[in-house]
Amino acid sequence: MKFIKRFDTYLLENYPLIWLSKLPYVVAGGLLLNLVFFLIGFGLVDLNFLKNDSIGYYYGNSIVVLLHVISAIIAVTFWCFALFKKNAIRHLYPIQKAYFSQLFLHFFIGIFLLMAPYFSFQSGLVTKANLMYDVNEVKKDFPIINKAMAFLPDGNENYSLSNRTYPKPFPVSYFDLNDLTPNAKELVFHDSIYYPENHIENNDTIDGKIVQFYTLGSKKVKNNCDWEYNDYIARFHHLNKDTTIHFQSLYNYSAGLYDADYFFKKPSYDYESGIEEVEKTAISPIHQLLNTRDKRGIETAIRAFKEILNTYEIPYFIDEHSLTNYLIEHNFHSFNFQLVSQNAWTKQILKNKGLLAYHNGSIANFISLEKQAPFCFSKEKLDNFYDNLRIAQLPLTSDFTIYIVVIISLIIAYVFVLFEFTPFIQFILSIPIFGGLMIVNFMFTFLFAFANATSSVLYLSQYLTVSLAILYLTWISLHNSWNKKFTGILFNMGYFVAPIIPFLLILLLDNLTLYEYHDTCNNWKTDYTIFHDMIQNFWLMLSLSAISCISYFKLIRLLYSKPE
Amino acid sequence: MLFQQKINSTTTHFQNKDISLGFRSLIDCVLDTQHLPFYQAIIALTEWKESTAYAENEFLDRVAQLTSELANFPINEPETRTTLITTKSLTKRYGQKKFAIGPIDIAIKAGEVWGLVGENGNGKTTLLRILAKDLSYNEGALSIEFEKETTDEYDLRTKLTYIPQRTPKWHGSLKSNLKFTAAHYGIKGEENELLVLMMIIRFGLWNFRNHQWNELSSGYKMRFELARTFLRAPKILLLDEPLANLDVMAQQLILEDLKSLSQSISNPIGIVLSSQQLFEVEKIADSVLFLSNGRPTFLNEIASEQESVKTVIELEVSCSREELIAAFSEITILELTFNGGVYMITIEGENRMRAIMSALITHHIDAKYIRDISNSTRRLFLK
Repeated sequence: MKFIKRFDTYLLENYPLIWLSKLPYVVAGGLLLNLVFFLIGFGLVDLNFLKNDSIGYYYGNSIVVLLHVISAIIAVTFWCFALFKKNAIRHLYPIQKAYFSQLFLHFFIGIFLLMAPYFSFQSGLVTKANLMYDVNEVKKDFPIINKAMAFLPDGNENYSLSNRTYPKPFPVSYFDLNDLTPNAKELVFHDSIYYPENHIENNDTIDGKIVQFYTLGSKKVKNNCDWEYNDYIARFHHLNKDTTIHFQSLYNYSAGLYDADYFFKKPSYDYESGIEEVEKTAISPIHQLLNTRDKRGIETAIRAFKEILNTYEIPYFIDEHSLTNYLIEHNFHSFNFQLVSQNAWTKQILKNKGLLAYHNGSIANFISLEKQAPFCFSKEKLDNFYDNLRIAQLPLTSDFTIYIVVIISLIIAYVFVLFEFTPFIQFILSIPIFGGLMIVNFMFTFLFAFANATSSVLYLSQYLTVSLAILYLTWISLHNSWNKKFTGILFNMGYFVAPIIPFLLILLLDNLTLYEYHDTCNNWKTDYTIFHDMIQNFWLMLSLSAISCISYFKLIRLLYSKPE
Repeated sequence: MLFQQKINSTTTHFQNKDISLGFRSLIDCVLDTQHLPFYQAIIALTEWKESTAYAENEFLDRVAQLTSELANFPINEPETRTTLITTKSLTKRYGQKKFAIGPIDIAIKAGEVWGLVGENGNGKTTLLRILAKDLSYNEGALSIEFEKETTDEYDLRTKLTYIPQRTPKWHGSLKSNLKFTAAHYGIKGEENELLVLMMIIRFGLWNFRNHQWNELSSGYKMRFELARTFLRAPKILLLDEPLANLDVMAQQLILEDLKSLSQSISNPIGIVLSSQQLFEVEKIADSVLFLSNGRPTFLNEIASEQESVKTVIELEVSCSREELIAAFSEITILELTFNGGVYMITIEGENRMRAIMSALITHHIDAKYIRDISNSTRRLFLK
């Protein structure tokens, strides 16, 4: 305590601005808060967490976000109590150069540190995950998993075949929906998409035919004008009479579940299904087992897989012996829904107490789950586990998150600076007046838009004009004997528009300078100038906005020295 | 020369055992030196004075030693006192044909104390705020001598210190607030601590230095404001009713302090203060300005306004008006008015107080209160 008191006195005597902003204490408190959140994150991660939760989503879906918000609000409240107790400008004390810019920076640092525990928490999760598991070691699991997965169901609920890929081209008859395909040989086919047979909701009917597959074909064309039209061609398939799903054995369905570089690449995101997809590739070791009808090999592969499940304590019931027998007996045809029909598997369950135990000891419980897989393991947990380790290799946070945190911190810091000098009543009055002005402006713009074509240039130029008019009036008011309270309200309104003026200006210039035309293919095209690049450069726009604010800060001295 | 006079005066106070007055005078001398070792000596002396070991004789010995050291300390004394603020026909109007203040022509010099008196609502606060550049004016000119030394209006206003009648609440300890002020005026490190303690001692706040705002009486709050203001080393100090809410002793003390500090050798200050305490203000003020309905009258103009020399006496007696007139039958009374509390008697001739008192004694009339207000703005209140 003595040290803190001495340190506080030292700041008060030598650095009154730092003493006023309480920056060292806020930084210390902020760092402590970040450490606490790091430790919470670090402490939360264990094997169970990695199997059941997501490093990416835990913060937003848990009490941690609430804890962060409450602790930040408490910290800001205490800070405000200490901060606004003393004020140099209200007493007309001399203030050092760039006083308000420095204060703004202090506030920004403090607020940013109070918002940063999100990053610290994430860092705690990631650090612990990386300390627990070395992905270079973990990735040695993949060949084993990939080898075994061809013989196993995907999960313990819906028995699907989504972990398998299909041959190219699939050996079934097909028809092209698009007859305009110039030359099928030029097409590059992608993985086929499969709708399982006898699963009516997954089938599709096109031209009176039940379609179970379709393939996307793409072709690079030289003619730019037709690029969009010919790039992708859908090719639909249906099973011909001689082809049954039984015929399509594991030869065709087997695939690797995890790539070797799974941990080191960002997954693509399927916006339709809402899940991240990992590219799957066929693997030859499976075919080798199938070709040789290697019962022992298959059993060994499954046993090795079970070892991995044991390592990560993932619940399972897999009887590799009966499973292998079944596969060989049925000539390796793929699992289908007949296989997992209730009757077939009730018998299996009754035979096996282990399987029964897996389903909480209740046949009824199991039977209620129609299409329940015969041999089960929690694939979701396995996926979660690897997915979390993969996320731990990715950058801690996205640019977007950083931008959001920086912007919120800057806005709060800017408001704090406003409270340093503006009387509260004037601030309160400024809000409805400014709001009213913006509404009137919007209505005018709306009316103009009826007369003219709706144009962003119109909107932008009008808002920019109003903003500049506010600044101009503020300037005039400061240099003339206008009512000081009125000047104060004008000043606050100018304060509101100062940071957005650069955005409005560059946006307007971007809109004014863009060039729209029909290209040689008669497509509508737009060419942009450098202003378009400027708009998209976050840090540049932020700097311009900061320069605008800092320039405006210089007027505070004028406002304060103005007589009534 | 002036410094030597101050030293001699201090020595005399101590010789007469006026210890409190002498100590304040000693602190003023030390502040004039702006020499940190002397500050340390005063602080050490105060700490010892406030301790249980205090003994008057030993204290006087220590003081004598310090005084002799001060006497030998070289000080540069300014030869002339500059004019700080000049106004020419300064006028402020509120609306068309409504209340107006002025025209006011004044020139305030460094080291001078100006009193601003008048009934409530006659423009004292307005004038002070105009001088502080807190309020604009309509006509005339306001010239501030040190304006050219400032970088902008804000900088100028940091040197024009105005203390309103109702001072705002402050937070934290008294000492931390003073340190905060001093730090903003470039007084840093050890000097900050020493100068703040000096001001605390000078304004009798030693035992309250760690107190909060709500732990101080009105008088001590005003002392704090003065301490804070003097830390700002102002060139001009504008005080609105600093004596309001103070007891009689505190009023006298503060006025004496203001007078003494305005005479500082290192930083002579021009002081303008408004007050209702006419006699106290007139006692210390170099000039007194009376505002009536916004129109100014100077104290020295009152006598010259008179067509012939008169003595004006304010008198409170227990007898009737007839008895009083009978008692003054041998004195030529030009006017005798009674405002319900006191009589105001105007007599032909100068300095006729003795004649009045003689008449009262002769006629066995007990006087509760009697005062010659011939040259006081009090007359203007009673008009």
